[in-house]
Amino acid sequence: MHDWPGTFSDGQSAAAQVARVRLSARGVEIALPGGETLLWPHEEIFSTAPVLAGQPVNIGLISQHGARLHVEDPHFAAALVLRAPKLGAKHRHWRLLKPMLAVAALIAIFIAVVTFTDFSPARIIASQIPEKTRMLFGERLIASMTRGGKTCSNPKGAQALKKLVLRLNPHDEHGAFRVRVARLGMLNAFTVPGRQIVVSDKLLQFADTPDELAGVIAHEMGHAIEIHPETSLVRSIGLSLGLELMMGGAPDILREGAEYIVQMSYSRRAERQADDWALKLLKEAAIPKKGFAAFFVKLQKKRGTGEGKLGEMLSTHPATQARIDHIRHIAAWPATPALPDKDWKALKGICG
Amino acid sequence: MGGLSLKIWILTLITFGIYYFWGKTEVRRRLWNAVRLNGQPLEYTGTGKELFLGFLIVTVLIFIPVIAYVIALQVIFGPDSLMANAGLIPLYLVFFYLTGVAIYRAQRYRLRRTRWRGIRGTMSGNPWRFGWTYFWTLLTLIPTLGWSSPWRHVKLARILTNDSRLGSRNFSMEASARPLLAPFALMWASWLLIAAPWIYAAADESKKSALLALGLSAPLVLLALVLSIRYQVRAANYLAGQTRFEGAVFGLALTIGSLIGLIVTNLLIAMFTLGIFTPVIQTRTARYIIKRLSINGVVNLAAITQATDALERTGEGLAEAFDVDMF
Repeated sequence: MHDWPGTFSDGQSAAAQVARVRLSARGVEIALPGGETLLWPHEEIFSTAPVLAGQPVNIGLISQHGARLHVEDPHFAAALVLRAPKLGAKHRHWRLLKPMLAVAALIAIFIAVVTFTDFSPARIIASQIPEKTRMLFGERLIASMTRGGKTCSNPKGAQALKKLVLRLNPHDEHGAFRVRVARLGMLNAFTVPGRQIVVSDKLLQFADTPDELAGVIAHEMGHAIEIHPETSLVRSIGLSLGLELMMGGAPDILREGAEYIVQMSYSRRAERQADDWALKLLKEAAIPKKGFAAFFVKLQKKRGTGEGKLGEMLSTHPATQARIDHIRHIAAWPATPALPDKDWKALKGICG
Repeated sequence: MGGLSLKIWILTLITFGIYYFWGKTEVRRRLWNAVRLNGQPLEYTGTGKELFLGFLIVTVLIFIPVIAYVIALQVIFGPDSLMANAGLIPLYLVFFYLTGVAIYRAQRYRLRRTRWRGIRGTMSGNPWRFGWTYFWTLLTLIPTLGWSSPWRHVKLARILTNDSRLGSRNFSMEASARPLLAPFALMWASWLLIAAPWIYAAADESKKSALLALGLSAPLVLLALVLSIRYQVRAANYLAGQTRFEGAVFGLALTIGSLIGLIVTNLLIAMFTLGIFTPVIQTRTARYIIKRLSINGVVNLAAITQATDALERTGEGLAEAFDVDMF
């Protein structure tokens, strides 16, 4: 049987002894100068660096902390791997690769679950945020969007708006909503955390009847009830802003959050949920649903002509044909106009 | 290393970044293994799992509270308000302090996971105390216009070296800032020379003087960079030469030209491989230093006995996992 010259250190001190090393079926046999022979069973041997053919070998024993055997002879590595295949490079790669592939698969499954089912970790976190914090955060977002929080407040108009909101949500059944009109320079309506809804002046002017506006506000109330804005912000803060912070630098959460809310597009499922809420609220308030559908049709037409900055509202709330059909498909209910003419005129002049 | 770099990059991609820590560990194992002392290699016994746990702990203990704090400041005081910005100052101070702590803990983690002939290294000092020294000496740079830098450099290097151990024995370094003053002065003067036209332009506020400042300072930047590298080379060689371990004396012979060559080629590799070849760059850097590093003298190896500090008793728990060079 072949034997190799090696260097043995016992892990107690950095001193080393010259040893004769043999490979047998039982393991690695290390004969020390004092006459003692150690047996290291193959399955208990480890090497931190891969054991590569033609390279020196440096091995230890799992149960014996610190003891090391070093064999310089380039032929030893191949002979050792033959007896103890788990030390070889191939086995080692695979051992590491397996858990990594499992991790990749788990993450892929998680992403698939979040994408294709209702399970949403962001929503769970969002629902834990206290009401007060949501309100405050929403206020700050609106202030950030409207440059100092200037909203339209003509008293008669505000009175009319209040009337409309009260009609949609008479006894604060779904919590108290705060609806405001602001000059935003774009045609849009959105909801920020804390059940706060902002309608742009342009959107108000674009609506021909109070029923149309009621539909839009009811739709936004649906988003608020489903905590869509909170969920979406938690997601965006968790992903993009968290990443930015790790890259260094404190993110400007509010400005980015405000930009994000304005440009935010909800998933189709979320829009459908908000539409269903809108229909429910309109029906309970006995407001005709025709205006709601008509508003979408009007927006779609306007997009067709490519007029102005109109894409904005549509990309935020894609008024697809399917959604319009869905609204039209539902049976009509007995209803009266959302607001009397006099109030509607006052509301239109809220920014005056 | 090129093949390993690609493998790590692909695995990191498909595991959404998690493999990064295992890849880093694999690179370290090979780097350590390539270093020989008395014909026997160094061993890196750290694991990817430890680094990953360390990352998770840092995320939970530091990053998430920081995000929450920054959001809270802006929500409570309003965006761009004086208070919200002032509230960031303590955050930066804490960050500087923790940088020092992290430097110490990272070096300690690596030493504890390094073995030679089965004997492992460690550090005997306190990371929090080092963090404090790192922090207050950093503040001295402001009133001294940077002139406390060589003194600080030597002070921190001495702590890091004198606290380092292999088994039961200490490394030691006796050094003063004096030999670094001349190269530092030259470097400092070159940066001042660049700043001068800009200070003038800022006072003058005309476009013409700004253009003039740009024209004057651009070529000087190269000179200043070379002088900065010169300072780093002098400092590294000097500090290594002052380092001892038992009877052995260290020596380092970096040269300015060779270091510039290394930096430029490393930058090119990083650029053309989009950072994927980082392990290659690390290997080249390690090879560059080891080729120029010498250890001379006789060491009584039998006197170096195994390290007996906490690691062996507590095992590799979570606190140990925090020892990560996160920064």
